[in-house]
Amino acid sequence: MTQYLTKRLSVMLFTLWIVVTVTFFLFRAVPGDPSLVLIGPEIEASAADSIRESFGLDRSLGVQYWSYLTNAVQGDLGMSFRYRVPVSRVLTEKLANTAVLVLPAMLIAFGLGALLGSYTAVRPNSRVDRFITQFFLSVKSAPSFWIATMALVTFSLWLGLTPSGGMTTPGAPRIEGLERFFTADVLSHLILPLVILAAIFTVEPLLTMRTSMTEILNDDFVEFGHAKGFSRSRITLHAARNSLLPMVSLIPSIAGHLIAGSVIIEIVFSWPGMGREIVDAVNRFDYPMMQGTFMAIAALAIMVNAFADILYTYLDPRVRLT
Amino acid sequence: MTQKPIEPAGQGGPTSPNTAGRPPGPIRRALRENNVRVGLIIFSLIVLVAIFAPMIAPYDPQERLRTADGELARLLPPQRDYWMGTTNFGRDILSQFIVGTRRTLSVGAIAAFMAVFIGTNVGLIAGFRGGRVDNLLMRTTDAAYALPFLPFAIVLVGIVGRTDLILIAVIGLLFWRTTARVIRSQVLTTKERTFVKAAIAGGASPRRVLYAHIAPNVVALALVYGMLLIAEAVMAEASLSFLGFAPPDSLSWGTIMFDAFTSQRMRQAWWWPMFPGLALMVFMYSVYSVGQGVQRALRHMDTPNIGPSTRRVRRALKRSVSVPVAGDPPDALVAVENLAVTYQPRTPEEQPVPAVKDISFRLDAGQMLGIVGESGSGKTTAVRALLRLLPPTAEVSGGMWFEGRDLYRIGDSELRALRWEHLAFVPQSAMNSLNPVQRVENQIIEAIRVHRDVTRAQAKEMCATALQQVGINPARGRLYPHQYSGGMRQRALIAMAKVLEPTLLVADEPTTGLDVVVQDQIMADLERVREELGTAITIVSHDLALVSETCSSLIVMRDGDVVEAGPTDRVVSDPRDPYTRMLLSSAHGAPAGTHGSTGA
Repeated sequence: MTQYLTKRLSVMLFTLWIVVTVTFFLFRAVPGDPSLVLIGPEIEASAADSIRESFGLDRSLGVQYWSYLTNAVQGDLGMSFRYRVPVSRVLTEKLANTAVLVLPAMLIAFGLGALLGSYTAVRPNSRVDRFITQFFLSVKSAPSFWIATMALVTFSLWLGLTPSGGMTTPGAPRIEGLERFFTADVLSHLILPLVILAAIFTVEPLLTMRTSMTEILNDDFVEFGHAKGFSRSRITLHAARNSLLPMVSLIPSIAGHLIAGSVIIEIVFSWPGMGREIVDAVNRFDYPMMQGTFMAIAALAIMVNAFADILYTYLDPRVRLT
Repeated sequence: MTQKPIEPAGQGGPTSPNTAGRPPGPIRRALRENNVRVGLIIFSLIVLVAIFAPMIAPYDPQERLRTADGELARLLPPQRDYWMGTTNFGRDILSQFIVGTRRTLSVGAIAAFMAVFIGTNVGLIAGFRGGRVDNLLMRTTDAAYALPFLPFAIVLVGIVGRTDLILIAVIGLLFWRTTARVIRSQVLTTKERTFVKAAIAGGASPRRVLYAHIAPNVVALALVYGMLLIAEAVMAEASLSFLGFAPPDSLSWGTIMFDAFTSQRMRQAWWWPMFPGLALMVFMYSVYSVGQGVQRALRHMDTPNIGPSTRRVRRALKRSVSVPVAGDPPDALVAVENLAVTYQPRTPEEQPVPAVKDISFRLDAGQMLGIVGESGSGKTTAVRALLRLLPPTAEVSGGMWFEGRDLYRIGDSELRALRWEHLAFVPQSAMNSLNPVQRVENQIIEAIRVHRDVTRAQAKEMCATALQQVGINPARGRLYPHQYSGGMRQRALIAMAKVLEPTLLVADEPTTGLDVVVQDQIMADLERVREELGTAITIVSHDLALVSETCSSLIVMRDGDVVEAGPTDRVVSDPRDPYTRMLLSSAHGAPAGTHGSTGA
């Protein structure tokens, strides 16, 4: 187990290093003078030179790469042009905002997906099964930005049930620390994007659970459960426990979808998280912010994948000990 | 690599002579499904709209239209002249939509072509070469998904600017993984086929074998994944355009949504974002239908089969059980009268299969009955009918009594209570019958505690004793089934079956696939259960010699019929049916020592 853990974590570090390196060269491949990218185009030549010097852009690529790498490891991602504060400080806040939206959505999605997936697998082709499968297939087919937009139009603009975007009402007192999320104001802003995001996220876990559960219900140990005089609900629980494995292994392949989904939802509902930040940074040519946000998102995805792999070996003893 | 090598594949197609005469491939099987056909029709319609866009569009999409009284036709709801309404600049949304289809599809198609081209070639080469090349390529495919797509695309737009090239490059570089995987596994099966081996033996170069012989067989599959990728790419383009990253002045379904979203007029003009999104949904839905049909066909999962449900069996039985034998229930522990089982066909083309035609037997406490026959003789079906473990397609008739109760007249809960306490089963496949993710010990403890109101500690004690008795160190109960040897798994099942001291134990092929020494241990375990607990035991086996050593009576089955039944001594010494004689002689003709040790 320890051996596997070390191996998986070193693969994770290696992938992180690749992403950081790719990002470095990507941002140096910007057409024109790369220093303009980091400094901004509208600055005087003499000032540009001094800034260039302070950023180390006059030195060789190798030296730059090394200092970039050591800074990144220490969490130093440079200064944001727009906020005039370190990128890492902005990111911490945005990351918390995204987490408040995405983590509950993922929890709901995997819980609901496992529940509905096993329910439909036990009753294949029943009316409930057909309704649930068709409903979530439609959600899968519909563009997330469209679902979100139409929900916004319906519930905020027409019915006035929820605020029309943002995380707080403008002018609301600003609270520091994590307590800021637990106000009625924030929760009322959270509810609609959370529901939409959870619905979108539920699709893949549900379909995966349904497929794997259908296969597992044909396994001999399920029949043996009947022979042992187990109740149907007990047998279903056993089958569900075994069907959870494919769901965990699903996480890496849908991580990209989850990230894309949260970027879109943050944009539609003006939620001030990482996804909105990366779009804003591009629109405002805030290159350090762009680079930092991208690296943070990619790093998160890579770490979640590693976590899912480790969780899988923990859940499946066959993998754990061989 | 150029585009050239894949061309012969396109001409060969899925129906090239190589595939003739074999069962239909996944694509053909998928095409039998209705939603696959409908999906293909919708897909083709949208492609046609894209091709003939300028001819179909009622207006110039950029023209600012005026109504009859000369006013700018801004924000008009859907009506006869403007089916999808108009924008705040008085542009016709239907025309924008039709012309936008072109860009939406062409960007998607080019990107998807690139991804499929990379994916197919990676899959072909990885599958064909195998070994280190395969390993390296598959690692790369995994790495290609480490980069989250949308942020990567957004950042590239930020660096390079708003061009279509970004989208095509990102999709082409990141989306080929699935195709590569599917093609690779298809190549792995194809390259084992005779015509490929023949080509290699005939001295064709590896390159020729790969592209002229193997590639034609995977090209249809590549096309389907291409279609799925077009859908993914279309969705990706729409998402990026919706975020405002489309090139300036371009028109696609996504840019219409972007205009609507940024107009601040959505409260009024619900139709504006409505229709492009709806179209995307229909488009994606049709593509998914096709893709799912093909995946189902690939997995041979045409009808999902669920595990046995006693309720469904009972419903089927209510129709099929003939009038039970009149009079008092037989006083034997187990009584089976004129049992017959027929498997009803799942599809109209198949014929019903009579698995068991007519079998009757009685069994008393402490007796051991062997049911012998080849595979397909109906012996397993017969005991499964007794255990009420048949699939819903089985129709059972005849009478079956256990401890004076008609087994097919008692309710589910009564049957559940009877099971394991009185009626235990050692199934054929010990490996698959144990839950792979639960410790062996816990599985036995669970079986105890479902039926008896004991503490966990007491159940654990009982489990340890039972394991001890079949020669398994109780400490090894902490292990998982896959850590056991085949013999240990079988003995663990016997321990599980005897732990509640049942009155009847049915063992289905308990010794199959085990070596002779272990076979003897298993038979000795069962014999000990009979002696100590007075349990009646039924053993189903194909090995007449083995069961005749322990069983007091025998039933020989062939093609669903009983050909011989009686006390073991009589059957062995004086077989009346030629089939029994044949089984006996073949057993005696077996290599010396096969069963010699049992006599000792």
